[in-house]
Amino acid sequence: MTNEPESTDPAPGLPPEDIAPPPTSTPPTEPALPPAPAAPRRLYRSRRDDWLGGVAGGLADYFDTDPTLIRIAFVVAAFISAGVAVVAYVVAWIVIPEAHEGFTGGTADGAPRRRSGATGALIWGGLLIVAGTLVLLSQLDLDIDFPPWEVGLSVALILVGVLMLIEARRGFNGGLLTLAVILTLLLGLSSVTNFSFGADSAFGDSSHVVRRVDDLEDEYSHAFGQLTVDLRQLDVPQGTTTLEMSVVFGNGELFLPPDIPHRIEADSVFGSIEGPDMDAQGVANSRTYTSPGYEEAARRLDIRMSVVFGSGRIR
Amino acid sequence: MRYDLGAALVGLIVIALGAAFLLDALDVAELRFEIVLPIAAIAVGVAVILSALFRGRDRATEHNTAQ
Repeated sequence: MTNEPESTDPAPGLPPEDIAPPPTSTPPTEPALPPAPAAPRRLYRSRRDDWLGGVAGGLADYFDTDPTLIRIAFVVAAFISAGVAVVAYVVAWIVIPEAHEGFTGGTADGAPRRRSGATGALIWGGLLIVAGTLVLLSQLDLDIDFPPWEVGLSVALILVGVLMLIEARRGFNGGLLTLAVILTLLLGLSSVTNFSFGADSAFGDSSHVVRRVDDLEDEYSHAFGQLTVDLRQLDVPQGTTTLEMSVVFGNGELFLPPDIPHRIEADSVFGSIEGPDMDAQGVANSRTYTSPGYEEAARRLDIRMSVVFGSGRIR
Repeated sequence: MRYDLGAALVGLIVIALGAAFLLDALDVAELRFEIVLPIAAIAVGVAVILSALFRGRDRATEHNTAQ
């Protein structure tokens, strides 16, 4: 027993946060252990950066980068891959588990171990490789028939539905519902107006003066600009000559050859189409005009014009 | 936690819509989406309302059980 007085204030005059904690006594006899191996990195969907399922935020956590860059890369990939990247995103949403509360990325200490993060990364990476390969092949002049982009978006919509079924045990998922509505609107617009988003040309003016039927293409499409197709000098052959013209975010102008009977089907979505005896405008509108003598004509024209977010004029 | 039947119903509707769009895109069937889409919108609206009603009933049941 000692007679030393007990001290309650080890450093009088100093604030408590500046006082070093008393040294802990460690037994000097035990050798130092080697450092424990780091916990494996796991890929999870982020709860903190959760715009649409937290996929981009989770990838950013995993690769230690800015989630905005991942989102920009995904948007660019979605456009150039004609929807394949959307499918990849939805699949990633399905296969990558969500992080637990308080998970801040990096290692998986204490995180739920429903699936291996490596599996999710493999599937996500594999889908990106497939999407990239498809886009690359489409840029080469290979004789491969790719499915239209509507097929990719339809598959994405089905996957979103499957994901909604899975997530139903936790109630409504607003992000999934938003994605489903966007995909449905895109597919519905395309189906109702028969519009293809794969435009032949984009930005600026695109003008075509057609004089010979051999030079006439089945379809002219343009995005973000003015599309002009001039058939006034065209020598229309016997039978029915068909032509489709579609414009998105722009204006279309079609000049018809004189004295050739024609039928025009016009579809406009958030736009307008003016023509002979027809005026289609509004949120979604369809009009059909048949000129006199069309049915019995030996030479005639079948025109289909679609305008989304723009205007069209037939003269 | 109780399975949300409304959300599940919306999921089923979305799957059916996706399948319809897929059949249309592959030219297997030609569907009139001017009719299909409004019906789908009505069905989703009903499912959302039903889901909210079910949730309210569940909360009331849990509240009564806790008391």
